[in-house]
Amino acid sequence: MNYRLSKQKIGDFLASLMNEYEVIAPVNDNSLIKFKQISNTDKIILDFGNSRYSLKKYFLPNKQVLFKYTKEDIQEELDNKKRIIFGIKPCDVHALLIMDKLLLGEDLEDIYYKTKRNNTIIFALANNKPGENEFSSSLGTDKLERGYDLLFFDKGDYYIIKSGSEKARGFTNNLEQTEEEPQAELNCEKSLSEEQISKLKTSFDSPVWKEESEKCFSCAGCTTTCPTCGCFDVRDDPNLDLESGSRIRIDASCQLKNYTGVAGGHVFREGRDSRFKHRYYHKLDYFKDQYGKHMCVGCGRCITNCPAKIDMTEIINKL
Amino acid sequence: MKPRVAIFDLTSCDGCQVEILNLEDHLLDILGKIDLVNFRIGKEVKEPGPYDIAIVEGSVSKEEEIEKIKKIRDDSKILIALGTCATHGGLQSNIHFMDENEVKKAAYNDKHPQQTRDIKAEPLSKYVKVDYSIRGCPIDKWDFVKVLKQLLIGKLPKEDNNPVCVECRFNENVCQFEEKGKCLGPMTHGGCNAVCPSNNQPCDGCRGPLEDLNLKAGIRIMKENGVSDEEILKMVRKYTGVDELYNKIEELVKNGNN
Amino acid sequence: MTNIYKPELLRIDKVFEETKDIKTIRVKDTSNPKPGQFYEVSVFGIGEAPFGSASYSPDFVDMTVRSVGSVSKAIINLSQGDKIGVRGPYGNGFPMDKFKGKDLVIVGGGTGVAPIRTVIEYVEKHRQDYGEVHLFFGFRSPEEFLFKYDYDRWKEKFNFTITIDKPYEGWSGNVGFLNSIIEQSGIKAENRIVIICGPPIMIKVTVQSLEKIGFTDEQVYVSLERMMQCGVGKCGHCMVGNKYVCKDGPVFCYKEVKGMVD
Repeated sequence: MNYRLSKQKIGDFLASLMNEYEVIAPVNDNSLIKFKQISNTDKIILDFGNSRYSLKKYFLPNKQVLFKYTKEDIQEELDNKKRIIFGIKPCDVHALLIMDKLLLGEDLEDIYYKTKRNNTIIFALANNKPGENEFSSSLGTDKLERGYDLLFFDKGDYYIIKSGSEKARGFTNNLEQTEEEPQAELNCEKSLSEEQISKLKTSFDSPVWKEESEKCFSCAGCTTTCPTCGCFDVRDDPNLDLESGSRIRIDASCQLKNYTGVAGGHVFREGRDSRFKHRYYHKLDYFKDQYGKHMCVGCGRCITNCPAKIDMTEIINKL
Repeated sequence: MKPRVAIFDLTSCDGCQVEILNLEDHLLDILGKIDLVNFRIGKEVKEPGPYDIAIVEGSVSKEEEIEKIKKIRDDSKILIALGTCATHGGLQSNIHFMDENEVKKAAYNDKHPQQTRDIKAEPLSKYVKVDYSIRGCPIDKWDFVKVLKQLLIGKLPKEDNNPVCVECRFNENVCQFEEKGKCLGPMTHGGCNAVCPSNNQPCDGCRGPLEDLNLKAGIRIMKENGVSDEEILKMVRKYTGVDELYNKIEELVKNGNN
Repeated sequence: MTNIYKPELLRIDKVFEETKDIKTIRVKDTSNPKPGQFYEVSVFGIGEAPFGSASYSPDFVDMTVRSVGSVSKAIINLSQGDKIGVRGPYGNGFPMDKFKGKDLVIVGGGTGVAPIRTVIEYVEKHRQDYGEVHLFFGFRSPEEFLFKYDYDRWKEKFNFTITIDKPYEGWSGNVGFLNSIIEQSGIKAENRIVIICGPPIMIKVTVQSLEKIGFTDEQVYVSLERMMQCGVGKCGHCMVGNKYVCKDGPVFCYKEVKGMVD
């Protein structure tokens, strides 16, 4: 059983949830589409490719207090705010499923991520329009079978909504039911085939890495905007009493030289080419060895946000 | 005993010291932790050395300032360069790339005759060992607080060496490369919270070049975007042109093959 | 829910002065690390850094700290009774079970002898599981010797060889790098496992010497050093190839290490 909601009513539907939830939705901010907390549903953009920046900050903020310390005590800081994110595209839901593999599971759960994940309701929006430079259709991350609470399909004047979780029941009670089975097709111009990706296994010493890295600024624009890059640094920020303070974590980037530097000064990936190459290998080779799937969802943000216009698909297709 | 801290200035606009004053209430908290024995624009007291920490704003631009900075160095355990003039020579270091006589003609006249024996503006590090640099024109006051706290806790601060782009992305800005075709953000030390791009202005590099900068790529892309050679040179040299990482800039910009 | 990033506050129980810039601190802790595992140690306000365990005990953990980074410098300045934050133990440790029935060659250079000490203490407690044991320690000079207070006991129980890099006034023992001392020792490769901890260059030349003697890469185990922050495979810094040094290591068979490239 699916549900049906007129497009005109989407604003009211989301507004009715604002008492209990912080609602995050795509808006136009300074000519970029961004996911932001909204108070006015008129501002929501319903027809868009994808947001310029990823949504990872709602799960793994760029900068986050892990705990506060005093001489005697450590108090952790967990974000228990309940959120709904409306309008997440399938590739970004896949990105969350990838982050789950890294940060949840086993005995080594990241409770900061887990808390935010558990407190966030996902209202995904099925694809009909690729994001700038998106290539998710070739990676199979343009469609969703799980990972959402509600999945909205744009049918012109109305949405067909699929329910994907126990939690979703509370949101569909007042919605009209329908037998209509929706579908969404996405045609991305860019593509990256499995066959081509598998060439990484034998391309570690390819001259491509050195050549292409010469164009790279190592500015971290790719990793900062990637929905699955979750690397971080841990720092202490003492208060002025110098006895108490906060331990914080901040996004880190494998593209920066300090990333592999150890006390004493040695840097393991010093050359720009080895840092440049590491990202491709982690995204499309190492992670699959470790967790059974690619760490790239083909959202294209690393291409869009690169000031040097370096294109992941072009580089892999050169191998 | 509270550490003896002294703040000095050489050739500068005092803007970085004003930033310290702008800390207002926080400044009072800081004063509870240190013994501030010299701060021309904030306090009347002027005690002689030795100092635990000396913080110096401004470039060395007059002969007498060479002696002054050497004396401060001798008197201090830790010497901190405060702001772009102290770390790189600042705006006045443009004289390295200009006709000296023309600059003098513009600066002095019959009413305001030249009274000092000036030299080309240089960073403190040209004459003395600097233990840490708080970058920026002006500095970020919170950066100053962070550095001071670390020094008080007994740790010599370590720079992040992140480009401006990192914080620029955190702020979800429009990329100035895309918007205006030029920006020094990818090549410049961050820590400023990307204040210029966050206000829709390209970074003009006041915090100085990163050791890891890719100058060739920067020049190539700006040229491709139609930025003229002169403009690239002007941007790069605006604040920190004397940095040795920019030594080959003229050659690189003029070389059409970039 | 347990928080993997939240350290436990522990008091320093004892401080052993090792050399002029190296100390061993002891905290009471019952986590009883496997040989080769490590802890993340916090000095609040300064930060957190990984330190290998240097002891094998159910009652306490020793960590040997050289003053190189900001955290280690801060630890060196602490005294008995001061509090530090500790998380761990992390990492795989040496597969001591796999080594059962073998003769062991245990090689440590400089501060690399700290994780080696956990292996030695383990072997002391499980002596019947292992055959002949050779210890080879190398330091720059006698001033750099670590765990001097253990040497008499180890000499009684094992074949203990110590060498210094350059001649030193008053020193009548071995002089020369570990690899040449091992080459000259006459040990044979058969039924032996080699455990090496030390600077990367020392590991490299030692393995070359071992190969000359007839050892294969499968017989050699090393502990790797990398930039680590979280210690639990999340922060990303220590990744080499498809391995996290913190989680999949820090102990690796040399055969695996050879294929690891940055």
